[in-house]
Amino acid sequence: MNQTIISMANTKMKLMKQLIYLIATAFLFAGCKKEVPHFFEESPDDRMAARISELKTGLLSAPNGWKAHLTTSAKGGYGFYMQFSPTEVTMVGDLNETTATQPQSSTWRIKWVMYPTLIFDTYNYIAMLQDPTPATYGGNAGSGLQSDVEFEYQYSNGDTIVLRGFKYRNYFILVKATAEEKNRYLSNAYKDNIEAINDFFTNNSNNYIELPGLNNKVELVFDKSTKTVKFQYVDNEDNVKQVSGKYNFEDVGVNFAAGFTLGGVTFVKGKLEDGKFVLYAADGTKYIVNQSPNPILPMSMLFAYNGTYKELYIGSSLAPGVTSGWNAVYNASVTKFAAMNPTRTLVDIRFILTNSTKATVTIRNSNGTTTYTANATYDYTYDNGVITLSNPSYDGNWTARVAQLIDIQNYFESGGPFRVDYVTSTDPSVTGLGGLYRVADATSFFYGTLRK
Amino acid sequence: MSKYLADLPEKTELDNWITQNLTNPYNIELVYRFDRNLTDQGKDIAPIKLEKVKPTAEAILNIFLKAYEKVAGAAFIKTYTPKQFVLYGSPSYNSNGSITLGTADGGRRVVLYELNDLDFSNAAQVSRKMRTIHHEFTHILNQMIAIPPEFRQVSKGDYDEDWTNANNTEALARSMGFVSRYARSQYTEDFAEVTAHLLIEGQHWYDAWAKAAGADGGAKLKRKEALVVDYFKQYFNIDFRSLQHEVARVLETVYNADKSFIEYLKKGQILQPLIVDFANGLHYDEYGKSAKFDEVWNDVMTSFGASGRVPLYFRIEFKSSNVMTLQFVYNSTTSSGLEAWYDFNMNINSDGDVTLTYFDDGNTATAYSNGRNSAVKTGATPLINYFNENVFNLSWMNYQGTTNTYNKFAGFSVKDEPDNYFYGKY
Repeated sequence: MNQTIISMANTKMKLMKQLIYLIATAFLFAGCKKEVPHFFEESPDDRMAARISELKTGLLSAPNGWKAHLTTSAKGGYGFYMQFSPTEVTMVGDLNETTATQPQSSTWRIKWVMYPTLIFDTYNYIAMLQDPTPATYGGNAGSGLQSDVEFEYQYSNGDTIVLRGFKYRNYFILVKATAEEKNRYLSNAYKDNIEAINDFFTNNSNNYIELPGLNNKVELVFDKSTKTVKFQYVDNEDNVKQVSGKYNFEDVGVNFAAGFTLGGVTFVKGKLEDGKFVLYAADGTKYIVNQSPNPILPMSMLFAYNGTYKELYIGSSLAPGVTSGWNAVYNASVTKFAAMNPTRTLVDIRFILTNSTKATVTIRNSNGTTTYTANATYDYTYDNGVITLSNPSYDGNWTARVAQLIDIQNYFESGGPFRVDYVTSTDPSVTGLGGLYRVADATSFFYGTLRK
Repeated sequence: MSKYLADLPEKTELDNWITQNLTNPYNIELVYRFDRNLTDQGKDIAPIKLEKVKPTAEAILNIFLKAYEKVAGAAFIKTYTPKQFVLYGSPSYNSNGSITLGTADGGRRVVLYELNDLDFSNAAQVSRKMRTIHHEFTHILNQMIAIPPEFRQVSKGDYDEDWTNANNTEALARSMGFVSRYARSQYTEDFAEVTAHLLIEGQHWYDAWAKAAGADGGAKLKRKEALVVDYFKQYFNIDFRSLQHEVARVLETVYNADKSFIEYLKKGQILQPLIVDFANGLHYDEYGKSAKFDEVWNDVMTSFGASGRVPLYFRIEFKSSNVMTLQFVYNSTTSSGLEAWYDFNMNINSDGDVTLTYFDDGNTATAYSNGRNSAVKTGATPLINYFNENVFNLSWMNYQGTTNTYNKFAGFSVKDEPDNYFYGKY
């Protein structure tokens, strides 16, 4: 932490001087002519003044203020409610609980740069996104969330003013608010809306919608930490596809930044209705977000040594509500351990994709005081969702208990190859199960909880 | 382009305050509204928070403008101060991982960064920011009158542009004779850093830093200090010592910086002895002395006199923040200028009250051996007892009064007995 001095000031100054001379010379010649013919009807400064005035009177013309939203380059979208007075702007925003509940004022001005430019020229909630100090609101040192405090005026259309960030070029869009909207923004309703939606996505996973023309479900991933949303799905040609978008909270529901489009449908808003989250397309069509007991993408897309999941886990007993040929294999082993003297229990079983070539089955058993870990290691290939195991080797703890483990050993050694897929229980409270289905006999499959 | 300023914003109360307090008296423009063109245009730099503008302006006035004005005069401040201060809320990040806290250019503009998190009730934070201003202003003075070539020679060969390199530790920079890591970057920064540290951190801090730097580094630091003091005197007719005092006074009185004697003592920054010489100190005529302590000193004279010895004066040296040495200088019947030394353990409680306990650790140096001579010890006993038996408050003399005595005299007074004290020249 320390100071530096700009040592290039001299050369910069020199250049500036040259520029000033050049401009001065230009004026000298221009000054000789009394009448400068204008290409347009009005003079440049008349046109500049008119554009500045258009933006200024526009911003001051909303009696109930503005709903505004802005996207950032580093993260997602951010929403604001703001009111302009001739000297100050007051706002709330959806950055955190404080910004949503404590209105903050700063100065603003409009300056002509290349366009009339709205500058939030003292610190406010918009500057928090631009703040280059990561301690303020995250992002990288030196650039923060990569946002702006200077916005170039693009155009007005009815109740909407469209501006664009000077450096990061993100759109900043203001829409006139109604009295009712203003009240919601300036009361706890705004914060409550944010919390309700965040809670919904904390409590509900495997969210999906169904779109006409798409055979598979489309997963909706709502990422609170980056304020982004994502559709992910397998298209009709079996390719995994993703569509990303950015969202911000409003007084009611969320707003999606332009371009959150899938299969010709552009999604613009989302909100909670009767305990369900509902997406709205630009044409007003509703899409209800449902929840699946299992992940939306096929298990083979997610199950890999370096994937979302790499382990199937059976704890002290099999998951209830599943009928499989594996159940008899598992129970035979449990019975054989129980028959030992002293008696033993099967603690748990793991099937793990250890790395790109090795898979292991790890079984732990206990005599009540000591737990023994037995490992079987296999080479594997994994093609089109089918795992083929080969070349098994068993460690000392395994061979010592081969009498109890023989059914399981045989199941993996000669039951394959196995196709990976989700397993559904008849018990609706049991979710997140994955299985290894025998290709030769789909009614028999090893299954357990999908784990990272 | 007659309507070019059609976008000029309306004046606010804050703008009027700035006009009255900075622009009219000092011809200084304070730009607090974000302007990309006044900083590094390619970087992301956040605007300042509105509520930080006025306290920043006040600190600039108090710790910089008025301090110089008082010491160097109104003409100096109007001639040399930057004409434009530009304020930003965030730091300016550099590609080498460092951050810029301020810049000065063209002898005209000072840009200050990272003001949004500044707590103006925290003296250390305010000091740090004001050090940046003094640093940058030193650059501006250097742009008027160049740094004397001798300065460049002091650490020639030790400068390193890559000052943020992990090898350039603070301890290394100090041992080489630099006041900070950054001072190593080049001699112009070195000069500005020495000046700013002497003004804001103060002389005691600087002396302690120089002492910790070791013999070679310490000598270089003191040489740089002398050249800075001389530069201000020779080219701008500024008494740098008075400027140091003035800045310290404002930091203490306005921003509650702890500049007390006891605070420096705790930090181990009291490096010079106090000299208590009633016979030769003219200041005792000017500022008076304590009748109660006179009795103690008279007892000392009497008890030394019993063996024909004459105590001349004594010194108090602080070896550390918990040991002090009482050093008598006396004449015997055969020799003059002898010394007798006595060590005391020093305990400073949380209220700053000091208790002292005499101890003898068997040090065989001559002055300690002299002190063990029974006749000498008898002579010293009234003062040793005085230290052992009382609780003291230590302070600068009149430190909040005239700059005349500030940091020049310090003394001991017996707690709750304001008329029982002694003080000496520091």
